[in-house]
Amino acid sequence: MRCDKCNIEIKNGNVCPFCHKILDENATAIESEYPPKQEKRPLPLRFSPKTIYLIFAIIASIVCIIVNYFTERDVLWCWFMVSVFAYGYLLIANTIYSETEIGAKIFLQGASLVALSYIYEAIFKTNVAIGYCIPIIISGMIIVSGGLLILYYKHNKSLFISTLLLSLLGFIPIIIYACKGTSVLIPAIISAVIGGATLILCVGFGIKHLKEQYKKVFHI
Amino acid sequence: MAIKNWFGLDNSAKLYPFITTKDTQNLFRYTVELADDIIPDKMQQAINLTLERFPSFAVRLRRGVFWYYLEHNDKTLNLRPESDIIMEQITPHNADGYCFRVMYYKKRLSFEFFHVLCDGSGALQFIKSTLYNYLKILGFDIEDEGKIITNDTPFDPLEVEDSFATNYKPTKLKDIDISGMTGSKSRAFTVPGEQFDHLGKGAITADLNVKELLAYCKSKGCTVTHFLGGLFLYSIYMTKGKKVDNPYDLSLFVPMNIRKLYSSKTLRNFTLFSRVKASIKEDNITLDDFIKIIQDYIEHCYDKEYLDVNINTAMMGEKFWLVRIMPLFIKHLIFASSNVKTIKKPTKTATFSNIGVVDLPKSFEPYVKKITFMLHACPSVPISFTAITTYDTLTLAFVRLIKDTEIEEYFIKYLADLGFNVAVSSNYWEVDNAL
Repeated sequence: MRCDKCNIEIKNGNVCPFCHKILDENATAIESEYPPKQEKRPLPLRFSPKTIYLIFAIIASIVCIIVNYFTERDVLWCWFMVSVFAYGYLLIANTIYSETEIGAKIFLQGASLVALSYIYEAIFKTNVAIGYCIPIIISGMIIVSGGLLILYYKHNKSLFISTLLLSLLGFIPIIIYACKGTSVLIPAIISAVIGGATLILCVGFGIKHLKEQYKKVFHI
Repeated sequence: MAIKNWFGLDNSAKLYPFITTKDTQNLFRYTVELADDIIPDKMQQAINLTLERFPSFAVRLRRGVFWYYLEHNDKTLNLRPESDIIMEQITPHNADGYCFRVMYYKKRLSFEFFHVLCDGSGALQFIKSTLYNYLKILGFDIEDEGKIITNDTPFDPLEVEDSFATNYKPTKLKDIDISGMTGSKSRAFTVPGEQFDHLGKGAITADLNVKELLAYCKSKGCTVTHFLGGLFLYSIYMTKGKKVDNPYDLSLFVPMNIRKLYSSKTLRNFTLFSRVKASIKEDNITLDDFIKIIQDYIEHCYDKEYLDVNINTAMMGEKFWLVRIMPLFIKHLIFASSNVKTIKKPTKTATFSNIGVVDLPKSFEPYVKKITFMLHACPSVPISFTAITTYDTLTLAFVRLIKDTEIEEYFIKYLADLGFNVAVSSNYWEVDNAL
C-alpha cells in the first residue's frame, strides 16, 4: 500500500507510520511483521519497593529516636530499632530483590544477623551474642548453604565455594571460646562439628569442582 | 581439545553488566525473514544443535568476587513466540539463564542478544549456523559454501579469544587517551521528545535497493555508511536541532568492526567506536557538511595506530591493579554514580551501526528473504539507527523511545525524494490498533 501524502510504500499496515492516515478503509488481513500489540505494560517503577522501604525506614528510625530520647533515656532501644530497619533494607535490597549469588546472600544475611545480635547485646546488656547467637547463626548458614548445594549442585556449582567458605566460619565460635571470649562451650562445639563435617564433605566429594570454581569466582 | 566451560568476559563486555539499569541494557536484535512460516519444533532442534557448536553462546552470566564471568549453561534455550515488546530486558528468568533469546512470529525469527556475549558480527555467525541447521533439518538442499560455521567445522580456540587482550601492548600511562575514548568531557545534544509512558520501543524499518544507493553514493564520492550516517545527523539537525536555542554538539557513536584489521576470528566482542561530533550551532548546515564530518571522523578513527592506542587504553583500565583487586560490589557502586552522571549529562546523541553485507550462501536465497538489525535505545539516548544488507536489499532500522517519528519521516522522505523506492514498515508503537 502507498501513502500518497508521504509518497512512501507501506509494507505491513493499513496506517502510514508518519502521518497516521488510514490507507485503505476496506482493507482486510494485512500481514504484519510484528505480533499484535498486547495491553500496555507499565514502565519499571521509579520508586522500587526498596526505595519505598528506605523512605519508610528512615522516617520510622527518626520517630524511634525522638520517642526514645524524649521518654526513657536509660535504655537506648531506638538504636536497636534503627539496626532492625537497616537489616530490613538489606533483606529487601540485597537478598529478595538482588540477583547476587545465593552464597553471598547467605553470608550477608548471616553477617547482618550477627551484627544485630551484637547490637542487641550492647544495648540490653545481655550475654547471648557471642555465646549463643554467633554459633547458631553460623551453623544455620552452613546448613542452608550445604542443603542448597546438595539440591542444586548440578546447576549451581558456585555453591561449592560458598559452602566451603561458610564451613570455615564454623570454627570461629570455638576459636572465640579458646581465646576466652565466651564461656559457653556446647553451641561452639556444634558449630565446629557442622563446619568441619561440611568442609570434609566439600573437599572429599568436590575437590575438582572446587578448584574449577575457585578459578572462576576469584579470577582477576 | 577440551572446550572451556567458563569464560572471563572480554574487555568490552566487562563494562556492560555495570551500565545495565532497570531501563537500560545494551541489547541488539536480528530478525530473519524466511520464505515460509517457521516450524517451532524443528527450529528448537536447530537451536539446540547450534548451541553445541558455539560454547561461548551456551553460557549464563555469573558474578565472581572481582569480575563477572560466563559459565556453561546446560538448560535448554527455549524458542518462544515473539513478544510485542522489542528488546525487552534479558534477565536470568526470561531467557532460561542465557544472555540471548530466540523468538518466532510467522515467517520471522528474531534473536535478541545482550552485548556481554558478543557483538553484531559474532552474533551473525551464530544466526547463520542456526539457519543452516534449520534448513538442513527441513531437508532442503543447501551448502555452507565456506561461509558458515557448521557443527562439522572443528572448534577453533580463536573463536572465543578476547582479541582486545591478544592485541594489547603494554603502554605507559602518559600514552593512553581516556578522554578521547570515552568523550566524558563534553555533553551531547539529546533528542528531545515525549517518551513512551509504557514499556516497549517504536521500530520503523525501511527497505531499498542497495545497488541504486551505492551508485548514488559513488556519484557523491562517499560510502554508504558515510551517506547514511550523514543523512541521519542531518535529519536530527533539521527536525530537532534547529528548534533548540544554542544546542549542544551532535555526538554519533559509530561502531567499527576491527576484525579484518587485526585478523581476528573471535565471535565475542571486538568492536571499537568512532565518536562523530558535529556542531549544530550555525545555521544552514548542509547534508554534504555532515557527510564530510562523518567521513573525516571514520577515516581518522579507522587508523591502525589510533585503534592500537584505544585498545591499549581499554585494556589498561582492566589491567590496572586497583581495578583488578576491587571487589565487584565496589565496582558496581562506582559505576552507579557514573550512570547517574551519564543520565544527567549524556555524552552521545545516537548510535548508528552499519553491519554491511550479510554473507549468506547462494543456496540460502530461496529460503532466507532478508535480515534486519536493530540496536537498543534508552532514555538518555532515545534513538538508534542501523543498516544491514541482504542480497540486494538494504534494510534500515530506527528504534526509538520517543513518541514522534519526525526524524525517521524526514530521513525516509529525503530518500524517497531522491528517487529511491523505499518500502516502510512499523510496529506502530505510538498508535493504538494499527496492526
